[in-house]
Amino acid sequence: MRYERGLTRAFPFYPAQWGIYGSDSPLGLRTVSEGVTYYVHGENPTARDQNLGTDPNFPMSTPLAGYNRLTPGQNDTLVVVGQDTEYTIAATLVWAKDFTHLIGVSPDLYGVGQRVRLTGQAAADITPVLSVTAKGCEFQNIQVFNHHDAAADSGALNVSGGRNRFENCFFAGMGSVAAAARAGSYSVLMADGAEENTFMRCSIGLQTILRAAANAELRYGAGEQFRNKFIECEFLSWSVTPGKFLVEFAAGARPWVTQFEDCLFDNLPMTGAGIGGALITDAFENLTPFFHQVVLRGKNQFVGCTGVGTAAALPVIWSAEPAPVNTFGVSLNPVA
Amino acid sequence: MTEKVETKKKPKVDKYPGVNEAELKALVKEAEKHPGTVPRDLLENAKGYLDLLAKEK
Repeated sequence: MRYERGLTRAFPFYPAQWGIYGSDSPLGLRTVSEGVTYYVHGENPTARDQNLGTDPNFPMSTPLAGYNRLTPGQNDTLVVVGQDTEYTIAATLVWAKDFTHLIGVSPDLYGVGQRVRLTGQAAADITPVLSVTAKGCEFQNIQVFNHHDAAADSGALNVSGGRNRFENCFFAGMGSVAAAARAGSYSVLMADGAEENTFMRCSIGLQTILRAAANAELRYGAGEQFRNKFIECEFLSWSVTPGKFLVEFAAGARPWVTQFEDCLFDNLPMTGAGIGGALITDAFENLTPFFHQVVLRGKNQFVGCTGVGTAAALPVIWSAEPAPVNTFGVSLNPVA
Repeated sequence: MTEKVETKKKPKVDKYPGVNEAELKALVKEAEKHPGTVPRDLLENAKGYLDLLAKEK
């Protein structure tokens, strides 16, 4: 089922309609029969976590309060309205209710810049900010950002659930130099159980904090993470660190097949002083001994790295694009 | 009589690649002298790393 993006079109508000044409009429189509929509808008003067939250004129204040109202299994939707200020997440928001959905009401921005910002603050040092353990959930138009600055590895999003879909989302870990200077930090971690998820038009990584350690923006940890797809996504970093990667399959990862379609892998090879520095060596690293395939579909572009993958990664990468040459700019067909 | 042994001075390697303390200090100084001339993200990043380096000393 495909539906129009963004809830800004879904007016007036009816339960769980997700902006489908015709759903703005009381006689129109609804996506689900029993799903309830709850609203969170912290800057609304009437916002209270004690509100029922089903009336957008009297929303709740915090995403956690909204999440607590959701009933798993009936396609309840939490609508969070974009605003100037961030939504501070005090403790990791664990999204554990199957078939519940988180939709940000903000422009259909491509990941970076999303205005529904769920953030972990430096004073709180939480990690991750959002942990998706549920299955069958939809996430749209949100930003997940971690300012974590304690002396420990940290990240923005952990996924250990399956069959979820993320669209127009921005996942930025390492939002402080303390985190970016650690090799174990990341933006998105695909953990055991993260199977058959789709990321569409998402931004993973950050280009405002220099990554000064050999970490990765998208990391596959140990476990089973079969058949995930990344479509029209961008993987971002700012780094001149040898051994820094945009995507890393860590030891013990067992993804079998991972697809990247029409993605941008963009590292900013600039020093902290703003001077052009060394390119990172490769976009992909592969440390798992288990058989798996990385399928590059459509047109993928690699910028700010000298190669697509390390010697360990190249044997698992399959691409339909022409053989690499480096005579036409490194952003096109970089050499291995 | 002692033999003079010439030792080659090893080039200083930054602990964090791309993070040169002297360069970052100069950047911050420049921003104080001429506000608005240093990009915001560059400045915030420089201050952050200078803090981190100071804590580690």
